[in-house]
Amino acid sequence: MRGLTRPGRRAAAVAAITALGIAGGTVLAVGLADGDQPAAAIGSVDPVAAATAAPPREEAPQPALPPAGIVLPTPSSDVHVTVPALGMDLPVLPLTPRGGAIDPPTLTAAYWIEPYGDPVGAAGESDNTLYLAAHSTGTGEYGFDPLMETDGGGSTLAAGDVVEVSTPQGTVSYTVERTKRYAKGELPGATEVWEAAPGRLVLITCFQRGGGRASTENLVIFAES
Amino acid sequence: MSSSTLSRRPPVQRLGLVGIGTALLLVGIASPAGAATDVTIPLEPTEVELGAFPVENFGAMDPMADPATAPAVTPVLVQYSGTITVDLPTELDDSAVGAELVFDDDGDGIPEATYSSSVASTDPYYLTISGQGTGSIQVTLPADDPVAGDAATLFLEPLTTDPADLSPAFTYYDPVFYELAFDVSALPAENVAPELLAVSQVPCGISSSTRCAFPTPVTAGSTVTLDLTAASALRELGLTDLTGVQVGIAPLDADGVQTGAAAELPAQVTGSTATFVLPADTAAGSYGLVVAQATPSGGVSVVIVELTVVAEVAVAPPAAEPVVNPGLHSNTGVEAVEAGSTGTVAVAAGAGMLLLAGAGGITVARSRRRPAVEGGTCGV
Repeated sequence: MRGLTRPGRRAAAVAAITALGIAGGTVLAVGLADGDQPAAAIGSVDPVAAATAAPPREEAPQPALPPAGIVLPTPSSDVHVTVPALGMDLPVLPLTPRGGAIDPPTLTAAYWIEPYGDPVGAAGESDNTLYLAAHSTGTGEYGFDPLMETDGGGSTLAAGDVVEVSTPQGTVSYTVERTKRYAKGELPGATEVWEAAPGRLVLITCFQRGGGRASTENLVIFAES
Repeated sequence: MSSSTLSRRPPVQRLGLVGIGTALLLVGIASPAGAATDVTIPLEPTEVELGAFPVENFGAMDPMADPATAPAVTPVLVQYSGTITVDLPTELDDSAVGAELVFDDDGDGIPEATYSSSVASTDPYYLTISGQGTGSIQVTLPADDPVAGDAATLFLEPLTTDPADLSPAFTYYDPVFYELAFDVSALPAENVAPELLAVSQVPCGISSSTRCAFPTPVTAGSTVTLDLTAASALRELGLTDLTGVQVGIAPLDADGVQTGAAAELPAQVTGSTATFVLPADTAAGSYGLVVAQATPSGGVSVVIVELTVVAEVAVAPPAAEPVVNPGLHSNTGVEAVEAGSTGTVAVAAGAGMLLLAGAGGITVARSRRRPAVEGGTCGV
């Protein structure tokens, strides 16, 4: 009888531990899925999550929102993207994607994606779509925040609005044609976004959800010079 | 000797300068059918009008000429009391032909003198004619008549088509005529040979009183094929294929009248078919297509077709495959760290469970490595 009871208790314990492990993994997975990039997006503040939530691809750590009262430095650049109607003016720096992802290193600048279209001094000099990407934080203070409605309902830009990209050689004005939201997983395969079209400007940012939740969509703004 | 003037020559008008202008007046109204790029036009007229063209007066026939432009007339020099022999086209039956010589030297339309083979041979204005039924008609010209002047028009009629040679589709229009100028230096015996002119129209008969354009409008820049069909009446003229065919096109005005000379187009002949390309820059509108070909007997066949030309449809070049940049993910969001946020709580809870599971697992493993103690009752 005892010989029989001993393995049964161990088995029960193993089963319980296994169940606990599965449950923990499931709960953890739910937490991860809620944002698709929790550890990265929040600056790896949770060591457990950071250790276990390996993303499907390698992503560089995303900048964290600074504590209240801290002002982030703004990089200097002689290339700027401005939206006069929104009072937005961001320096623009080059960024070479790594691992198939756009990971802007700062919150206070926009980045043109290399080796695609470069900012040019005149529309006719363009040889590819110019992609500008910047973070959105939902705070209204950084990156492409001005392009997002504060209630998360959509973009503040609409067809006909003007976006300017200035360089030392000149400024090119682009007219917004449309905006579109893409699930983050769909963006790489959205041919219309990645079509090489000289004279076209594409602004990319994340569609920031409210309540501090991680972004699951990208906002893309298409404009033509 | 006086010079000739066209106003004195209604036969010229009647011929319609090889009939083209007249023919184009009769062609039809454009069809609403859709344009085509590979149109074949059967050269199969239902009617063919024949005439004898006095090449000695007007020079060689030019089917592409502007019918509104009067050709220069060169009278045939003849001598009083001399003869003129007219060698008629073989397609004509001259067995009953007569002759008339009309002097209207002042060109007022009122003859000063008219000589005719139809009056009595005793009549001073009798005109001697011979050779009927031989194809070679000889007319003995009168002696100098101071009243009549020295410019005259010679008419030969009636002439008909020979039913043994040509079907009823052919109709000959009288007369044969020649402008003559009496001149003492001329040869006493002059020979002339008018050329047969066969004018027809498709798809309607040339005698049709309404315009009838070819039913299918033709697209500028497209290829048009002419087909001398096996059943074509034109084969009765000795045409066995389209060798030597000339193709020209001339714009028509709103009334269907040719507005200029026909522009000749290069034609590629293969047996009984010929193809030509309608120039791509041909403006949309109505055009007279002139298809001319010499006949073995020395005549000329001219087929008229009214074409409705539509502008060439601009064909967009095939769209180039768009060049697509490699697609990228965009990690352009941030997540504010807020106490109690759903994601953070879940992560923490999940991680905690895993830690507990790990600890429990270690405990179990350790317990399995220790000897089993059964109630401490086991002794040695």
